[in-house]
Amino acid sequence: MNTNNPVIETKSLSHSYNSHNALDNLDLEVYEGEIFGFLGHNGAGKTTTINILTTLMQPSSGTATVAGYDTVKQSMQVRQQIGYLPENVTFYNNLTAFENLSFFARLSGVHDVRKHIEEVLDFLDFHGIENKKLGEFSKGMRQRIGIAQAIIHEPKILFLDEPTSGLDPLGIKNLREIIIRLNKEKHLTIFMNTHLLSEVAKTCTSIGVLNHGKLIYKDTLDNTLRRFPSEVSLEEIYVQMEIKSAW
Amino acid sequence: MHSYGMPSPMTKSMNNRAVWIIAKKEYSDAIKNVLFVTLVVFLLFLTAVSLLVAGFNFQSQVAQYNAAIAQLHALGQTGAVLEKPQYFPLQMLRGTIEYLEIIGAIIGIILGYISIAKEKGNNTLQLLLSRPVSKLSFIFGKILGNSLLLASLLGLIVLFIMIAITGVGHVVFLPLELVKLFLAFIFSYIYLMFFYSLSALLSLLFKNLPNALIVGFVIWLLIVLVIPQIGDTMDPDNQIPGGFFNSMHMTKTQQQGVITKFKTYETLRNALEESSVEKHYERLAFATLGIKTMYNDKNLSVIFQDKWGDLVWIIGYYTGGILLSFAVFSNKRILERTT
Repeated sequence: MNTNNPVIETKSLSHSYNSHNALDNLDLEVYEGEIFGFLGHNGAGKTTTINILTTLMQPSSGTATVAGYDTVKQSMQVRQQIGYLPENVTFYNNLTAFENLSFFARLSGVHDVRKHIEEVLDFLDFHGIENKKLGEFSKGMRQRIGIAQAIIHEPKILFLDEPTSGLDPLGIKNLREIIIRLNKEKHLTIFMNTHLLSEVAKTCTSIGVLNHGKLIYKDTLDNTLRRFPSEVSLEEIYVQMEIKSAW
Repeated sequence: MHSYGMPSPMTKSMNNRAVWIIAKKEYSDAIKNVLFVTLVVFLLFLTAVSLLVAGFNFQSQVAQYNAAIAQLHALGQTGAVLEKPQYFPLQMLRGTIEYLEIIGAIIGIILGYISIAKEKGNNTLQLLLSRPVSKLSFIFGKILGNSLLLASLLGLIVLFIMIAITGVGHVVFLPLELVKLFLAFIFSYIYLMFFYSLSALLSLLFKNLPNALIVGFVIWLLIVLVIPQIGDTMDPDNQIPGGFFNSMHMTKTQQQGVITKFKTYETLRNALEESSVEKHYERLAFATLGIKTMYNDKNLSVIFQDKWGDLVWIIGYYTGGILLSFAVFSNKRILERTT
């Protein structure tokens, strides 16, 4: 699916909180049609990167473009092209699934809201929940609503921040299948922050490793697995990279 | 395959649409909120009680007057020396205004808190801001929704008052009285919106949401109860029931002469009262509704000539609160911390 068009591109992207450098001259390209897994330890700068790419934050220096638009100067255009599921979002518990989705769809300028909601829920194989309040939903069900709100306006790029966080093994498997289907059937480029290397190996087409705000590795998953001896797991490769970077 | 690079012409108009979508949601969220509905019902109940008490009070004045007249007639005298109690329906709203000062302000604080806390607590703020919605549209939508909500609440109270006074008391409002009633509730709206914006502002600023609510209530306590109470206690004329100057049979010139000798004291006392938005609101509402007897039969130009300062103050507080909310929400660092 890689068409050699970078749909996400950062150049010398840096961001600091007071004196702490969260991102340090990040140069990154994610290509159209990829499922990009962004790996890194806690505090490596993954969420800061996603916040800049989704226009929630402005970088201290450097530039970032998403779908050809500058995240600072053309933030509104960027927002029209993206869907986003932040970590630990709980939505509005007092509203039903339909009301939650309808609110986010209308905010994104979707006109035939009911039709879009039905289509999205159908795609996610998520039926009979429209009139249930989100307060009654499990974590896995909420994540599916999260995906539904993120794709309801038919974005081109989907950002997921630790999407499997807090899910049970079945929930993780279901979410993995949804992500792959979104990429294959809806042709979405997916940018995913994650800790779970096993998921990266099963879901992503390319990976990047961030360490203390610096990109220490980026390649396709195939190349990564080819480059290292076959008996070495992705987990071991990642640990080696982290150790090497620390030295 | 998708094509990228075409800017959308919808962006600007979509933001106007977004303002309405957010405003509508604010409205419907609040009317489904148990705490808000309970406070509204409580306020309506207190309004009814205050009207009832005012009604009984007037009836008792009339009964006393009739008894006094009967006694005078029994003594063979006419009752011409006694002033007949006059009924002014707007004066019955003293209790309503006082309850709005206290409960209304609490409603404003609760609404401001809920308005922001639900987005921060659920992490939906990030979702909202990743949509084609500008920060200004977001906060404007919130303010608009809650403005409409508070206007509806006050409209409901006005309707309730009119039904109670006209329907039950069989009193027909004069056109000027209706205008005065309308103006008093515009001032009430401004007053309540100040507390809404104050609370929304604190909820935006504080990372720990319960702290925002606590600070909001501390400020409410100071503005609504403590400062006005200190100001009243320090007022030399309030030291004796019925008024110190009145009991000493002092003329206005003599009163001013005494106050001039305590200029620093009086300046300090006045400054304390001036710092409370509640005091300005009360002065303005009491004058407009004729609760302050000296303004009872005065037309609006006379009232505003005297009370324009209070009007400027409450508009200043209201505008300041809203502008600060916009400024805080537009602040890059604060928003980063929030998201």
